[in-house]
Amino acid sequence: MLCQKCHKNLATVRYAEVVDGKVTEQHLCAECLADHQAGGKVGFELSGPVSSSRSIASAVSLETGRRRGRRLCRSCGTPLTKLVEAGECGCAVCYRSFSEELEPILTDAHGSSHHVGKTPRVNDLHSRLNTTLQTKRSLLRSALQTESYEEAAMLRDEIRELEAALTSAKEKNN
Amino acid sequence: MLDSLVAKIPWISGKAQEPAVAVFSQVSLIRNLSGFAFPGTSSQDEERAIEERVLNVLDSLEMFSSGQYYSLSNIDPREAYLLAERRLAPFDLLNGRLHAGVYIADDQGMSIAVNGANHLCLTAIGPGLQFQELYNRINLLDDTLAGLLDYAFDQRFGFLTRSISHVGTGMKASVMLHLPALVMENGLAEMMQTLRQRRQILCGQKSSLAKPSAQQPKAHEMDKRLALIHHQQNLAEALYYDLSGLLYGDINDTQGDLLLLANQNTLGISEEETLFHLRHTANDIIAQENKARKKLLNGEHRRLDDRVARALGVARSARLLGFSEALNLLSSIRLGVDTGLLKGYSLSRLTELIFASQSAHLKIKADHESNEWTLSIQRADLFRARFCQERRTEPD
Repeated sequence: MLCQKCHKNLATVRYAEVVDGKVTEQHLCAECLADHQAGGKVGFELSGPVSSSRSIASAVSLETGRRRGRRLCRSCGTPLTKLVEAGECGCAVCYRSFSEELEPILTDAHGSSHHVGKTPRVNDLHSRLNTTLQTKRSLLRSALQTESYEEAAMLRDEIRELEAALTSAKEKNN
Repeated sequence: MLDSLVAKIPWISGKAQEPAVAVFSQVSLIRNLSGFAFPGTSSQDEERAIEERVLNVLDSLEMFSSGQYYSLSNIDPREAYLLAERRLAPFDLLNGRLHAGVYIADDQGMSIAVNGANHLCLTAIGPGLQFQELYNRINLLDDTLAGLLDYAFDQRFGFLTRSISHVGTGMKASVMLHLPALVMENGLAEMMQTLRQRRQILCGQKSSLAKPSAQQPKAHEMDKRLALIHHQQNLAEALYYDLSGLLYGDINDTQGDLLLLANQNTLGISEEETLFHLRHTANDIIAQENKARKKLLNGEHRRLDDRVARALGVARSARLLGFSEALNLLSSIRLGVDTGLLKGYSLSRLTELIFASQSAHLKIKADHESNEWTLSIQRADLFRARFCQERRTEPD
């Protein structure tokens, strides 16, 4: 649920107020709650005490309790809860975003939290050329699809050059 | 489209290793490309870009010229299921993503699944117990791809995968073991403790599915034809290759005495070490199975002989044959051939029949709408033809 005040952040606190004997309830995010309690006093002065210290304390504990579940991967937005409950990450960055939380989970599941074994091969000239070639080929494909023939012709020339460079790189290696 | 593929499975009859107790082995490497979210979180554009990148690599290298890429949106859904039944694609590839597909080498011994549960799943499969050979093959493929595609890799966590149970080496190795004597003697339970300590798993295979996958495909992203098949999923009787383990069951529920031994851990243990331990465990289990068989042959020869002969009788004369029953018949016949009680049948042909009795394999040959009833008829016909004919051509 979105905060009923700013309509931007997720509401984490249910904030109840008694105004003129009537109870009004609002779902707020942490920032708006702080704003409301700091600035709100002016408006509510005449209607008596706004919120007791107890309601603030409970709001705060609710907030910290929910903050953990609310934590999202900074890249793909996968929540930490999904990772803990389903054991699934949304993207590679999840592993970095939640590395602290993951460490004990991985140790529990695998008996270790550090990789041992193969690492991907380092990029050499050959593979760099190939990567560029790949990109150009996919560009060519899109160019032909969008009927940009001039661009396609240029790309075709570049691809030919790259292919020649690749063959000579191979020959050198051999 | 898949005609040549449907007709036969070249790796099965490879003379290199006659499949006996170890029916076939598989080694898979799960890889993701950096810069893209994992499937399930990624957008269709990302998935298209990934498929395109992989296709470019396949186009550019000669080593891939002796194979074919099948885009799942271009092939008949029955064909897609056939690929999963052949274990050329993990079951999660059938999730209905638009830009999913699989590259299959000509001998069907190697495949690259694109946009399944992960961006890539490289798999090698071969007869018997041969982890190291399969790994060497897949490792070479992996090295080649690593040079051209940018893998999601982290120094601490290794190869990053969607499921945290595959992170690290991203390697799943398994061997299908045929253990009728140990199943008969209830000799498997004792082994489970040792396996747990070695962080390996032995599990049965569920022969039919109540649910197609953990994640129900969303209608908007799914090919309608695939949706139809997913709908009929409770008809699918097959042994799928499943990396998530959802389709694997308890050792006591297994069909045809087939049990799958696999590694459980991928983090903190190197590929070579994993394969080494797995090979040792497999050899231990095979030795125990052979011991139990010897005991049965000596002590209960008549009972064993009866089981084998009965199975052959049913295989030669049944008019309706369910998948579970077919697997059980094949198990008894295989046991007979392996112990010398039965002659004239080759183990690799029996392995081939395990594949051929699965739903999609039968459906693809049918020219009419299939249901459980027609599949049973087809399966029985297949068995009668195979076992009567072989007897004529390969006399005792």
